[in-house]
Amino acid sequence: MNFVAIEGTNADFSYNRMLLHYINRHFASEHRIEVCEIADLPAFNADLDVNEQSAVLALDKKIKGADGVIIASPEYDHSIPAVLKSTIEWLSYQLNSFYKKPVLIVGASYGPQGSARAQFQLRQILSSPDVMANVLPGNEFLLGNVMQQFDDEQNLKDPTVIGNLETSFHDFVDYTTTFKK
Amino acid sequence: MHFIAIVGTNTKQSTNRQLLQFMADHFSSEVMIEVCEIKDIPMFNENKPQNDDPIEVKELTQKIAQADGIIIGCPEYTHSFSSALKSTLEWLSYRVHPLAEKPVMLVGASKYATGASRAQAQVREVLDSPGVNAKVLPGNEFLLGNSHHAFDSKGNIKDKKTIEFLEQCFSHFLDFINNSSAASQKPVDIAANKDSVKFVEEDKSMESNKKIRWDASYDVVVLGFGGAGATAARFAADDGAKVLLVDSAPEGHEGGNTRYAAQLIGSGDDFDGLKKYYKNLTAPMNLDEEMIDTYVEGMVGIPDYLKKYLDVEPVSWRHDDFAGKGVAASIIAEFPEFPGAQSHDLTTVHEGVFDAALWQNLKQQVAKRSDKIDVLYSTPARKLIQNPVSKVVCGVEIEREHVLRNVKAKNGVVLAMGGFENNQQYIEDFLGAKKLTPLGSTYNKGAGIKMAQEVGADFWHMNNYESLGLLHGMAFAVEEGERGRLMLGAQNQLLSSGSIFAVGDDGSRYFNESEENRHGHIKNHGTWKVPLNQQHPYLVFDQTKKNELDKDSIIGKYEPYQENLLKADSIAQLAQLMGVNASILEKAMVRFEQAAKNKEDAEFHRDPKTLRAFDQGPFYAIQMSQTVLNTQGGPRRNSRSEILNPDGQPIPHLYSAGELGGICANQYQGGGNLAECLIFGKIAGQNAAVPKMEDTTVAYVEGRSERDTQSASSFTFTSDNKTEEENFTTGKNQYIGRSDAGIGGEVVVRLTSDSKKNIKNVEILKQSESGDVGLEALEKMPKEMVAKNKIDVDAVSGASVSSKALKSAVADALKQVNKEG
Repeated sequence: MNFVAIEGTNADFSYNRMLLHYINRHFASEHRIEVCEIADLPAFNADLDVNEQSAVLALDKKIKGADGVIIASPEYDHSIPAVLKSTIEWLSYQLNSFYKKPVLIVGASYGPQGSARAQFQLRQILSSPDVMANVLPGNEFLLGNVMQQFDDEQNLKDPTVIGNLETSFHDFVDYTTTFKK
Repeated sequence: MHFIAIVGTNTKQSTNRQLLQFMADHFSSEVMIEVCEIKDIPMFNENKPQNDDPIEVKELTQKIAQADGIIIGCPEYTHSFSSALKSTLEWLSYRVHPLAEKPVMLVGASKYATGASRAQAQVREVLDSPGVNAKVLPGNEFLLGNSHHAFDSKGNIKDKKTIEFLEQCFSHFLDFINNSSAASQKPVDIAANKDSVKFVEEDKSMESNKKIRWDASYDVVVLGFGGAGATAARFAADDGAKVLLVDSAPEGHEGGNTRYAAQLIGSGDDFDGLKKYYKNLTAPMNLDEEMIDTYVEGMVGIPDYLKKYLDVEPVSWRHDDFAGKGVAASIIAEFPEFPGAQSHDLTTVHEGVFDAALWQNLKQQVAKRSDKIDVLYSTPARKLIQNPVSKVVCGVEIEREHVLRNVKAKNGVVLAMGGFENNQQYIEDFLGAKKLTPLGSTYNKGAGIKMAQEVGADFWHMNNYESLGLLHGMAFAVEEGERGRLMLGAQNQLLSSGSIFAVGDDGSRYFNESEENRHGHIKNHGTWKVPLNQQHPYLVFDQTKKNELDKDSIIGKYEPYQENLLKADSIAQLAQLMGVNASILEKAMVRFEQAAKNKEDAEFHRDPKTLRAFDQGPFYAIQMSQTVLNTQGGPRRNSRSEILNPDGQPIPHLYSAGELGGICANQYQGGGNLAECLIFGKIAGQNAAVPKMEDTTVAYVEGRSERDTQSASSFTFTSDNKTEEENFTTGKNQYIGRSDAGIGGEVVVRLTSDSKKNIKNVEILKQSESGDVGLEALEKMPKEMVAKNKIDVDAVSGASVSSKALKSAVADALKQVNKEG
């Protein structure tokens, strides 16, 4: 299947980005996953004409063409980063990119909570009538204490964690399949 | 009151903006509400370099900091608040934290019926997060639904009930602000309720800590630039820390007691023997076994330490065979009768003593690391800054040019401020003495004791101190606040034998003058103790002894001796001059004469060979004073150099080294304190440098500081340790000469010659020598050099280091004269 993965931050270094690239490699034999950056998107402003935002339109096109979307979000102040919020605002306002699109939420954090609050909030946002995505229920993939999670090759180390990721991902693939029918 | 109202969106048309403008008008008779926009604030990005926050963020930060409260007008996008507002809050919680503890009221308008209720709930969560830490008014949700139809053409809310509800919410907000700021100011009725008093007081202490604004930020702050502080700073820097090193003394006078010490470092040949010796030195008291092991292990390793860290070939005073050996065997093991004494050695960085050689090496180690260590002179530390909840010592208040500055210490503070030799109150309280004359640094005023006390440290060894010098550790009395002159050996010999004896405050003898002291301790029924201090001890002697003293090259020329000498024709008259009881002094005299005649001192067992009968008058007396070399008391520490509280638990992030609460106690062996500076200085510096977990107990806010998660220190002081050479002017036939060999560092001279290369003038341009004999050398010797037209004039006795430094500086200048010729 064909997925778009959105890296939820504009920081130069991000473990969430590392996680998405790992997911890409790990499932490469079965699926095509394209990791997309949002750092270059302009800040959302309702007064601007979305038809002039080429970067937004390009991302919109990719999402609409994909079978599903994976979003990786860090947590800033108990919530998702402004840059990710801004992206969702662009993609919901007039474009409706996420309309009935299956979405998997993942997230990594330095602390033990694994961006749980941000993920919960993102789930609320994606479920709002303006966005109306189909977020895979349950199945949260929270990667806490992320500094200890990757080896030198930037692969996940812990087999249990990898198992959890595989379960989440395969559930997501099943979920996506039901929408394809 | 003054409020900032933030329009939580960047769109041109916003009913939230309308709502806030309405509030500003509606409440303008009571308060001032300034409506602020966020539309020009760029998207938050953590990669932006330090000090490069957008100007719009800086302006908003400033406004928020000065406001009494904040109102946020929050629209709802996708069941959540706008990314523009989120971005603003991210900026306001990254390097700056103006919203911390700031009262915030939320209002929200939306074109749907729900009136931004979900967005408000989310903003509330964000404002509650530790990074933002605002005080949000609970409840009182003002939600303006169907907002497109809520306002009339003049921008007023149409519905009266809605206005009433807004008034109610706003008045609750005003109460909320008044109550929370009044909590710390309200007078307390103590009789009413003891528990509530306690609560309010605690709250108040938190409140004061919440207001901290950092002026600088370092990984490690070391207080005290002596041997221990220099060592701690250097090892912290070697472990990657950015270090601030401060000292209360002006430049050139730092160095604490290390600078004045003999430069002998206690060391040892074998662990077991040395441990036995140290256990006997501290007996009959017990010391923590782990502490002794750490210390003894360190001492056995001193020769390797000197090679590895100080780049010198160590000199052993017990084993190395070299000419000019100036240290008596009795000093290598001051308590030779104790088991294990033969294991003790003294090590130096070269073949010399009392020349500040170790100190200069330690100071150079700091100078070599000027990229990692900033040094501030003339900057006393005033207090430690402690988180009232977690007890973490997170910074230090220092005084720089009469201004108090808060310095953040991310990973540790090291107290290396020496003892309390110059604190009269502490000397009375802890040592039970009226007055003691310091021999070392005059900057050791016990500031570290007070600071450790304030953060809850336990204390040890408070009544231990060392003396040195004549008789039982005395010097000729000098004015209060002046350093005493250390005299040993031949001078002590003169004063402890012949027709001379010492008396205490009432005029009676109180000890055996012929027994040499061991760092101020004399034998007291089996153990060695510092004698009960006398307020004005005197030496009484006859004309024969006076003639001997006058002839002595040091005592004869010493001003306090010449000026304070008392003379009388009879003992009774002398007693009157001394202020002692005449009949007691006469009786002491009679008994001494009997002892001299019988060749037996029945009272104090003075060696009969040292007893000589007095001449017939006149009689003389000179006042003496007990010296203090250093004190040992201070905060209790463990083998990791952590300072402990009374329950034996470390006070987080606080370390110590050196004489401020050192391990040496009871019977002191010379070299012990310098060994301690090197051993525990290293441990303290390395432990302080270890990066610590972020202190998540939010009990204070940071003003000008960056966020804790950033590893690099962002703002620092300009170091006083200048690396570039100062330029001095020269005229015709004038040459600058320099030497680094002074006790206080560099000595710079300007030499004027004539056409025949004669020395016409020698001016001192820069020096930081010690305030007594060193200065005498720098004053007298240049004149003599000009008069004799040569460098090699007699050194001033007792100032051999300063004399040598001066000569080498002049020689440096003269070299240039010869080169030009």
